[in-house]
Formats: sequence, structure tokens, C-alpha cells
Amino acid sequence: MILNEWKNYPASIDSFSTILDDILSAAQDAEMANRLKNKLRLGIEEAVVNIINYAYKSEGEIFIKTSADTDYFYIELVDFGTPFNPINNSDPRANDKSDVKYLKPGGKGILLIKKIFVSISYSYDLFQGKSANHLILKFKKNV
Amino acid sequence: MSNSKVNFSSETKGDWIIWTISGSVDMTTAAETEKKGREIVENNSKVALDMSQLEYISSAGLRVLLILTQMAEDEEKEFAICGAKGDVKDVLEDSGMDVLLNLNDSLSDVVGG
Repeated sequence: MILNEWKNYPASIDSFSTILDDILSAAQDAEMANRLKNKLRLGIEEAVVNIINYAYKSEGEIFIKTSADTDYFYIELVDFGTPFNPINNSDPRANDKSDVKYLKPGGKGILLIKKIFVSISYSYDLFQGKSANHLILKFKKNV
Repeated sequence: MSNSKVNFSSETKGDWIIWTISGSVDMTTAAETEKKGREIVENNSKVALDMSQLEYISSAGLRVLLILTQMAEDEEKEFAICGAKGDVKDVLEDSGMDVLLNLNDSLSDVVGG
């Protein structure tokens, strides 16, 4: 199965389509209901966009691994960027000065992530010997 | 595997311009959608956005809808969003954006049958 081991991608918008396709392929292999595809796609985008746009000041990487059991599909995302716990924070875009006039949509990404995933667990711990953000997203694959 | 393209078309009906978006408005297509939308709102006073063929929207797309709504308000123009359904409608409602935007069930409610 694709992504059953850690795979790393550049944390850039150019990687986004590949990341999305890899995770959706893994979800399909895990027998996720096809009608949930857009819902999962949204959850992936909202989680990955935060890392791509805000984790690193310059270039960086995202590490991704997926797994599944009978009822759930799990996505693990790791980055070495600025510590950021989406569970306790509003969307960082809410603080983006270029967005002052449009503060309201800023928090929507985090709100959507919380609605889409059954649970989100965050830790900031060692990964490959370095401090890293570690996010585990749990998705119900058949509703 | 994921359709990450957006397509635009437009036509006039009475004093409205109908702007149709199909495909996906995500982080990779939001910028071109915003650019096109700004151009349309700038050049027209009554814009009906037909979303009935849109398959997917993310928060990047929601942000564009809010920007265009705000732009239309600032310029005292109309920006009516019409026909969102399925996953797209769910996202508008789940995000609470439905109360901030001028949403309409169908295009004909706005521009007439």
C-alpha cells in the first residue's frame, strides 16, 4: 500500500497535487467509501496548506504516512517547522496582516478540519532526531 | 486522480452577468478564480455566480467568495451566489459562511426563469 511507510515531500504548493493524490490512493486502498472522497480531500487540503504556507520560513519538508483499521483511516503529518498545535489555535491566517479585512475566512480551515476528522492528535516531539510537529488525523472511512 | 482544475464561462441575462464556475476551487486554483472574479465584479454591477457545476471548494475558495462579496459591497454592486449543492453546499454550511454570503438555491431565483 502506498504511504504505509514515511514518505517526504517538499513543503511547497508544487507538491500539493502529488500529496493529495498519494493520500487519496492510500484511502482508496483502505476501502474508504468513494462518496467521502471530497470530504477527505478537504481535510487533507486544510491540514497540508497550513504546513506549506506557515510551517517554514524558507524551504522545508513534510513527512506523511497513512494507516487503516476496520473503521478508520489515519493520516500522520510531520514537519520540522514552527511549533503549531491546530487544536488549540485558530488558523494562522487570521494573523496574516494582508488579510486584515477578511479575518473571518481565516479561521475556517481549522474549523473544517475539526468537523471532518473524528479526532486530531498533536504532539511536538522528536522525529528522526529533531524536534517536529506531529499530527495524526483520524477519518471515519465508512459512514 | 483528484480533479484540480477550474473552468469559467459567462453570459448575460437581462441586466445580470451569469458567471459559471465548474471543477474545483482549491489552494491551487483560488488565485486564478480571484483574479477572474475581481475582473467580473469590476466590470459589472449585477453578478450571479452559478456554482451548480462546482464539484469542490476548500477554505481557499471560501476566502475568494468572501473577498468578492466584500468587493461588491464596497462598490455597491450585487454578488449573488447560486445553486451550490452536495459537498460544496456542505462546506458553505459547515464553515458558517452561509450567513456571510448572499446564497441562493437556484440561479432562476436571482435572474428569473
